[in-house]
Amino acid sequence: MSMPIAVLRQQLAQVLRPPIPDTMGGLATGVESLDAILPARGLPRGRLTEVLGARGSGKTTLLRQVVDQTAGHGLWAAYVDARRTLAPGDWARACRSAHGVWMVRPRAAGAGAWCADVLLRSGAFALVILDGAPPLTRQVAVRLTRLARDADAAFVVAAEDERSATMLGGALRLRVERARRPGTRITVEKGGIHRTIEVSYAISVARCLCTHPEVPDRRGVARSRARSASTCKPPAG
Amino acid sequence: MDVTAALLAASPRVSPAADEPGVWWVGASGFERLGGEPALARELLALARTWHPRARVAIADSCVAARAATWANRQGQGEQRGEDAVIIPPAGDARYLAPAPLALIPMDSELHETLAALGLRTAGAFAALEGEDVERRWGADGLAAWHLARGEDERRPVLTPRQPSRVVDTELPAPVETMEPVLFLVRAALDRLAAGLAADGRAAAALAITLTLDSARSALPHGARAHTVTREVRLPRPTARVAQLFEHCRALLEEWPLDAPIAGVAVAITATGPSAGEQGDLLAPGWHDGAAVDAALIRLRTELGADVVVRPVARDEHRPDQAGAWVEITQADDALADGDAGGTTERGEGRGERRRIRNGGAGAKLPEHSADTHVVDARHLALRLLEEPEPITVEWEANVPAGMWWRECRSPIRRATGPERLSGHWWKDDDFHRDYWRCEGEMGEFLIFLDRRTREWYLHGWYD
Repeated sequence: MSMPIAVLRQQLAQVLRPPIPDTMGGLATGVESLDAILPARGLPRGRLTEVLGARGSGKTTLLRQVVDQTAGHGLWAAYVDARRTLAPGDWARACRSAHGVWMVRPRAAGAGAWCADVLLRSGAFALVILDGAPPLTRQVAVRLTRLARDADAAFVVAAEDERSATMLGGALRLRVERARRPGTRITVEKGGIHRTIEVSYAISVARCLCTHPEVPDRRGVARSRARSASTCKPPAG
Repeated sequence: MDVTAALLAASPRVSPAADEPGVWWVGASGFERLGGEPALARELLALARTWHPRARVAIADSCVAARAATWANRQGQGEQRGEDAVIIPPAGDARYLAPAPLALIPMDSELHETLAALGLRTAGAFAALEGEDVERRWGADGLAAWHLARGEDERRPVLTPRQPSRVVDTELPAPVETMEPVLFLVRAALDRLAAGLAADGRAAAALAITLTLDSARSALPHGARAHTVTREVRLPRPTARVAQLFEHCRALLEEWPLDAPIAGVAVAITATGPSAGEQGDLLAPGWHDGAAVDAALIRLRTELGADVVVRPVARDEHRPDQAGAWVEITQADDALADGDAGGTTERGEGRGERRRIRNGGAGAKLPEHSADTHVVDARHLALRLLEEPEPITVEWEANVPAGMWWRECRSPIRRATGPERLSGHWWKDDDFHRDYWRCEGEMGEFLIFLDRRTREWYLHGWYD
């Protein structure tokens, strides 16, 4: 009698084993060292995450990696690009899968929060990112967080504005800054161990021949020069 | 469906005629104790004329004769005329059809032309031919038409199960000019309708909303119909869930321009399908509720317009702004269409050419020299591009940019790499000649270019 119970227990354990263990708690960011210090091993589902950083800090790169990781696990992700500045070619080449990735580009940045509301309410997305929208009011942030909790979705608000940081009350706050060498510094400011992770990135430059009938004219040889001080001169051209 | 339901009040066997819109077959046997066929014809005529003032009714042994009789009645050739209804006596179909033109006998146009060329212009002339000859000459189709010309028709109305009414009609206590109270009523109506659907194991495939408007046209004599406007929405997939149905209704109502106050609203489920009974899988986190996604998509598209919900595709172009494109997601299934292996590449020179291939797919072969387009490169900084490059003023020193003015702010440039000279499309209207510089300054790495035709500088984007 004990033998069948043991077998049943084993089978039950197999059935109940989560197929994707790393996505049950949080959504992986693609930066292993960052995931390691986050309590949910990634961006927490059902909660609000704030990603703050100035223009050029690298927060879009981080978010793109999160979307890539999420889609790579077969989950759906939605990205509300409120300022309509994402480059499609860049995303098409960087993401492993276009499976279930929705980019929502409202014509007015103010509609971004409403888009996030609709997406979260559908309950189909494991990740909803609101990027570039005007600062959310406390009431809107609470409502969206509640929707995220109901949908078990990770809701991420990316902003440049420092003031919005203290208003949203997210469970996790990441600050992204430019590093000295090409890359970014990600600091966990809230919701985890206060640490800074440095990630190096490159800038990809197209050096290819394309199927285009006309080979592009690239006679200009790259000239690079480091400058220690700037000097004003009348603008060229 | 409404006509069928109305005709069921007269006879239990009612079938819409296949491929003949506006024609119904109604069973006419067994009415001897109820006034016979004349009484049935009168009742059917009265019912049909509530839908069309010139509706016609004919009773015969066969469907083909009855159909021909309704046409003949319009031409004033009725056998037994009584209030625009024609009743052909039992066993009299062949005799009735004999003088009827061949056009009243269902057959394909080629056969009809052949018979006309042979001088056969009536059903009787065609029926007079030998069946074997007809079959030998025109095959099974010809033989079937020959049988119809003789009044031998196997079509019969079938016993129709009475469909439950799936309409909820509500009147507002006072006319309103906004949609909020209407949405409230629609939600309540959907609650009732969805409960009925679930009880029958059905799902809504289409629903219609009818608004009764309190316009001047509603000031009609007693008994006249009020001014109503109906709109119907076809669902991408049948669903019986209130939340999704409500999203579709809301999308429909929000784009509805109102030219008069609303006095009433009716919600009807005009088409149903079997309930899929699809269930989510607790152990499959990738499972998605398709109906919910459809509802979200229709809401976004209705509110924000087309080309708002998109997905990225790569293009074989040099210019940063043309190296990719946004392709609209029109159905939830679109998001899965180019599924699992790598990003999508769109090839072609312009937006008009929508030839898409899937990288790494079985049938997708990219030329070797463009192989870079399907290398996944997630470890590079993301580029953000302004929708329209913005003019800037560049300070120039020692043949490299030293600073720029953008939006009335000066940004010193610590490092500049370039130029990367791009030109092309001289054979099209949008030819370009640009010198791109990748610069590094306080706002990080950014991309500026000199338009060599106008000698003006622009900020194109930045790496973030």
